[in-house]
Amino acid sequence: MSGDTVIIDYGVGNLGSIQNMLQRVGVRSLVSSNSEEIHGAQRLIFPGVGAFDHGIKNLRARGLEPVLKEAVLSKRIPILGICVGMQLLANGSDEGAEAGLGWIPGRVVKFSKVDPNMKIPHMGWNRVEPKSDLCLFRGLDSPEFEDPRFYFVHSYYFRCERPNDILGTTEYYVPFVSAIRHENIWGVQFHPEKSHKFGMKLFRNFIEVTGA
Amino acid sequence: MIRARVIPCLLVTGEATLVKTVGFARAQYIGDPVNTVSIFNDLEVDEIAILDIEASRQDREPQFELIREITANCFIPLSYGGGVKTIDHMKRLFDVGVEKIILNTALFSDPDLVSGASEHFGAQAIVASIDVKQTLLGRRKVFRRLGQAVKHSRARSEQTNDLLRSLDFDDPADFARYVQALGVGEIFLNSVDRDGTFEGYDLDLIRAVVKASDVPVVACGGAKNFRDLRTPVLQAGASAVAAGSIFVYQNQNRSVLVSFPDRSELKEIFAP
Repeated sequence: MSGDTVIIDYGVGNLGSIQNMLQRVGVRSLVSSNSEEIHGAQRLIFPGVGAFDHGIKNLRARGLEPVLKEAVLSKRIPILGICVGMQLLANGSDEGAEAGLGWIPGRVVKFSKVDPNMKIPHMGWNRVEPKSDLCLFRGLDSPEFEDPRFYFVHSYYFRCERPNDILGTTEYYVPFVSAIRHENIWGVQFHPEKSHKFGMKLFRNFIEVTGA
Repeated sequence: MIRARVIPCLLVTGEATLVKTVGFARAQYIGDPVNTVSIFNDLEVDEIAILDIEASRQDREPQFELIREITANCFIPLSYGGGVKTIDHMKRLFDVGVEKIILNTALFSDPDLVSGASEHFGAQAIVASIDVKQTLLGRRKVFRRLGQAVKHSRARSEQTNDLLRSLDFDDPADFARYVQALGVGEIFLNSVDRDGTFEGYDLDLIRAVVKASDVPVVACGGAKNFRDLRTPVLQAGASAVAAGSIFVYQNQNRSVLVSFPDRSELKEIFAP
């Protein structure tokens, strides 16, 4: 029996969609910024949309950085960063001046326009090529998931320092890292909560690999 | 590489019914919005756009409860437009699971709301809807409600000010430059004349706006059939295509049938 899944509320991100989808896959979840609830979680979901600095400043202004640090680095509670939530795991971003959490070495950089037809943000459905261990992408190669795909909306992407942390890559004019993992820390650049049955499967996988 | 997105554009009224218009008028009843969106979700459409076409006219706020019911059965990105006047409206919409906010009236009446929203929620969450209508002389002109003028914005830089001064706000391409200067992350381009006509997309209009845009442009208005979805993308450079009639009507006789091309059809439609 798995415990609570806590969606971290720091004033940034589409919490409604995530809760909505977790409910559909039958997972009890809680939206919270309370340190006790975060420390008692079975797993954490770290959402985020908008600008990098806006996100990290909000997190710090609410005093959540030390709370998360203890939960994730000391207590080793699994965490899944989504979109800007993933980007905040990096050391920093070209989008802002603030330092990131620095839990997965790397820097967030902007797409450069390498083709006159290239529009930024990268917005739409795209494939993820899983590297090595399938992990979050397990089962997506089965026939019920014809044309597996995820919904992306972003102008910046995570440039990973350690190849071993790369969980999946995607191509938008250039290849970029779309999923990362280091020990109990996961991140995805796309929005599983908006990615229909593919996103549901990814959440199910995350619940499974982080089960009690 | 990603395939262009295909987006059913659904119109709701103040009575929470789903309708389809011709030339932005003559609304015909289609069905229940919650149920219809749920069907589109099952058909695995790429995105859904919901426009409350009476909210601004009736000077009322978004129907939050209805939108909540709609998003509860929708696991794909959903954008919403209609009656959004404040940052608080937007917050409430994001909280119930809306992905992007479509703004139109505010582009004219409250440019600061548009740029503020983009700063607050990120450009990717803010879409400018540009409606274009041809004049009797055939000139394409940005359509606005009677007496609506573009209000002055506290532009942030001299550069932006200079740009704004040099623009013709009636011209669709210039208007696209203007909304990008406000910070929107996407343009939803509507041809009022083609709306509901099955006459084909206005490719000249789409080309002009795409050329003036660094952000994705969604082309809407006039799709003949599923096959025609390819034309704005392959011939005019649109990043995405939206349509209403072809997804809610069986054919040009306008009998209601909700449908959407399947994966293999989509592949064929967008094959170069």
